[in-house]
Amino acid sequence: MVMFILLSGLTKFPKEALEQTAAGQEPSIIMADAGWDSIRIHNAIAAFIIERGYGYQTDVIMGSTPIVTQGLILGDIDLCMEVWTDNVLELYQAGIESGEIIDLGVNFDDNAQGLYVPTYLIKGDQTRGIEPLVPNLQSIKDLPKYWEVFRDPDHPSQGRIYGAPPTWGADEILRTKMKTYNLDERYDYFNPGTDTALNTALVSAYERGEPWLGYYWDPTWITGKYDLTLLEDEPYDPEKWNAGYACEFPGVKVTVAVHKSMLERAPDVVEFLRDYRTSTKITSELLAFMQDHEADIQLTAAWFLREYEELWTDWVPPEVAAQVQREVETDAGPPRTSLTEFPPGLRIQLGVYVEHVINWLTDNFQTFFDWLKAGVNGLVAGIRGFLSFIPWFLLLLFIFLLGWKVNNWQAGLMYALMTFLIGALGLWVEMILTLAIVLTGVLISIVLGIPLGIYMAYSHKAEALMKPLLDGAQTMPSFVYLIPAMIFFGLGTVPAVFATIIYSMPPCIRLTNLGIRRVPTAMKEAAYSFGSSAWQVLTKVELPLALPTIMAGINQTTMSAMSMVVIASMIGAKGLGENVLIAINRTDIAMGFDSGISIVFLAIIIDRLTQQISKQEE
Amino acid sequence: MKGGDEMAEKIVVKNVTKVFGPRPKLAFEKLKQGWSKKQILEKTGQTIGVNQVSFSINEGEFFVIIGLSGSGKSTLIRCFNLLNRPTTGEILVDGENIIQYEPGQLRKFRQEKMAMVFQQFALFPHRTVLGNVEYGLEIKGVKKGERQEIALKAIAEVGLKGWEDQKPQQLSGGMQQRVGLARALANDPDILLMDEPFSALDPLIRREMQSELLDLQSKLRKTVVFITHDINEAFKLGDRVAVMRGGSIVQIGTPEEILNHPSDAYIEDFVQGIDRTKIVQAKDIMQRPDVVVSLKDGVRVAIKEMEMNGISSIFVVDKERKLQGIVTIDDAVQAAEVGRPLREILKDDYFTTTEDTYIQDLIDLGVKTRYPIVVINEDQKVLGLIVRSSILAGLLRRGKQEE
Repeated sequence: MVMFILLSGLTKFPKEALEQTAAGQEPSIIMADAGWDSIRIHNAIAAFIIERGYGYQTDVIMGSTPIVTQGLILGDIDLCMEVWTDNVLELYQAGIESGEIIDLGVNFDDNAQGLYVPTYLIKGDQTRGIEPLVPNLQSIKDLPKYWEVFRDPDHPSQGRIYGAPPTWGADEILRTKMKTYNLDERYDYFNPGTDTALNTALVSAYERGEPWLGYYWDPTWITGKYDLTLLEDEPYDPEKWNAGYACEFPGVKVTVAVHKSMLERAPDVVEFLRDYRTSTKITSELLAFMQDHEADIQLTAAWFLREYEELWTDWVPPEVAAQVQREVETDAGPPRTSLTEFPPGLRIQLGVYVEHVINWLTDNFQTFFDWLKAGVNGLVAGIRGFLSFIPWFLLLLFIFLLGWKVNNWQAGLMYALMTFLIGALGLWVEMILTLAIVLTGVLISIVLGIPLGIYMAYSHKAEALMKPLLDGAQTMPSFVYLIPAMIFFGLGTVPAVFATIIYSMPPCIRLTNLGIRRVPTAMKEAAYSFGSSAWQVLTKVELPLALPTIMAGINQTTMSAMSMVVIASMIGAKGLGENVLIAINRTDIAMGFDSGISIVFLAIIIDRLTQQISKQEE
Repeated sequence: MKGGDEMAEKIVVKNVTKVFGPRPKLAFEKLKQGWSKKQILEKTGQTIGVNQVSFSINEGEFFVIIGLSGSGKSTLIRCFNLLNRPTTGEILVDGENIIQYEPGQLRKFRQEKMAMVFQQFALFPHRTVLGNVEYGLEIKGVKKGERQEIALKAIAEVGLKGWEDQKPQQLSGGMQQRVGLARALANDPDILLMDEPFSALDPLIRREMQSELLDLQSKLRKTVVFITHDINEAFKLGDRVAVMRGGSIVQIGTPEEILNHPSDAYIEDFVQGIDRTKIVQAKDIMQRPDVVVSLKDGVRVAIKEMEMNGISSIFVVDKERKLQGIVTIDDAVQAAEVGRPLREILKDDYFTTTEDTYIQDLIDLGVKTRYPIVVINEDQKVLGLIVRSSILAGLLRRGKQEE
């Protein structure tokens, strides 16, 4: 068995690694992955047609809805196949008005949202032995009668309605609607925080066959996979809608949008996308198909291209259609696009003031940021390229030897085994990507952090200024760093590195400062009394004496970088964190465990190695 | 001052003041206007560390500065290598005012002329003994091979041969300070600044280190500025001792001068605590050997001398003033009657001593002997005589009694 893994690994790891480095020769069309499955399917379909039919490269960047919309405005993202216009109304309108975003028309608009219950509550489920609890529940207006069924565990005197994620337009609408229908007398409106939490609540209730009542929308893989019933409401009527939302939700317009640069870069693709139009029904079918086929998006896209030939061949010129059809027939499987999920509920509200400052910065220092971006990108690519270039077994050997030298041979063996396991879990490439970002972040943190720490140790003013900043930086939830990172550098690897640096540099600065300040004055005076220059005192006395403390700082920095790089997958950092995010959004325990344990292994290896080095210095 | 005139002045301190605080010049103005240290501290919040001090130190001299804690002695010694920069005044070393040195000149000065030994050793824990001792040479830019050779020699000199590769923290306190001393000596400085180097050591080790330092000094003849709060140490080591109080020098002199003529009640109090038996030596209490007779003078002269001086015995020397023996008045009278020569009635039941013997070692002899104790040198030449009463007087403040 082990032999088999070894052999397959031999061929597998380097091949994927090479693919990673070879990618991105010319600028690809960047598609937005806002985190849910239907957008991925539409991405996969569009990408197939764009690549095979029109000959462009495509790539995908992941982010929450507001983030990818922002990316669309900034031009980091070229194409978004699903803009749920109601959920990002202001930002989207602003983008269209400023001319950055070109709305290419509706993808589908006949979708539904509202209050759902699992169908087994009404009809029962014989195979699972579930009796219908509320066989007469049909309309939202029936709910007051059944509040006891949906009893809120936190407030047992009331029922619970799971609401929409707090940043979504539906949130406010539902709250008002509850008052309009006097539902608030019997029910609590429960804020799920994020749509991920909402998913989890729904899925776990469904799996246990328990009552559940709350906001959901269609199409999603959940509505595709689970049998849910949308409670009836008054038919949509603008008058009633404006009077406290006393009717059903209107269909949300889900549009296709591109950045303005696409008009010049790929006018033919833009024409194709103008005609791209599906429906909720089709999308639901696709989602269901995908769920039935182990979430294989490529397979789903290919299935669509075969099943709905009449539909999509109208979107493209005949010769393109013919070309794509040929490709569909012969394709052994289109290139893998990254599968990522992001909690769209994580919506960021930027203060107007901050916005002005940031705008001013981006307006005036764009060249600087571009320059930084290029530099960091180069560094990450370099490290990644190097790590990918090393045959995997040599990397294992190297880790073993390093562990042996730093700790002992047992530890070395353990580290190598852990690394091997990561590879065996199919996450080798992701690990390399994560490592590349962590190493880049740590490298830059050290290069900047140690001099800053020295400066802080030498200057009381600098310490007085930086201490609160560092305190703030360490207390601040690490998510917050994603914002400036995204604003300055868009989406992708560079902002991830940037966020990693902000988050992981403080311990390096802090402990360098501490280490140098803790060097006894007598020691420095002794050095000065022999006629040392300030530089000699620093390099021959202060730094060597502070080294154990500084190394402890570097250890902390590395661990912080490790944790941040996982979080930074929300703004497009690839690697292990990306898989964790997908797993969270899918509540996919197996996938979450695989990528989670890989991160733990990597963290253990890095921690033990750097910690031991710092101990040895002491 | 003992022989100050013939020696070259190595360090001249002129009117040096050191104020600690944010506006030292202001405090200094107040000081000149006659404000007291206490007033300045209360009104301006600034501390006068050293108050208008002037003195000089001679080349090759072992100069000890003593004072209680807070007296400004450490502040003052740190002015000599500008670890403390004096607020006003001049410090001339070999005629150059070091306070005006540029940073580069100062570094060169510290590298070449001075080296310091610290109270808490201040050894570099990340370097070996050898690495520590090499440090000054490394800073100077001496090549590795050469500096190791010099450092090894210095390590051997302080008796740490074989310990070169240990880290300082593996050594005992006394050994650590030997490393500190070796580190200073390796630089071959003209001037050795020692800031309470032995204070952190236990008394036995301290005494051992003091003796070894004196041995070294007799070989090396450095100009040593040595800070201590231990009066016994000061008087044992110092050619001259300066007593500091409240930032000022209240008296400078040889140990004997200070011991015998304390300039004020403070110093009197200060030296009161001293164990005089360990400070006062034979040479300090001996009388000039005026009353001796030569062998060739004969018995009658001896009797006459004894009669004249009202004593009952007298020492006999030869023509080179080498001690031959003692005669009592009874033996001398008998011999004169029968005509026996002086040589035949000499007795030898007296005690001799050397001039640097401490009186603690003379007390016993003083109790046992019937005659004065003879102070002789290695050639048996008589240098002086000590009578029993002067041993006892030496234990008291002799200066006071004489006044």
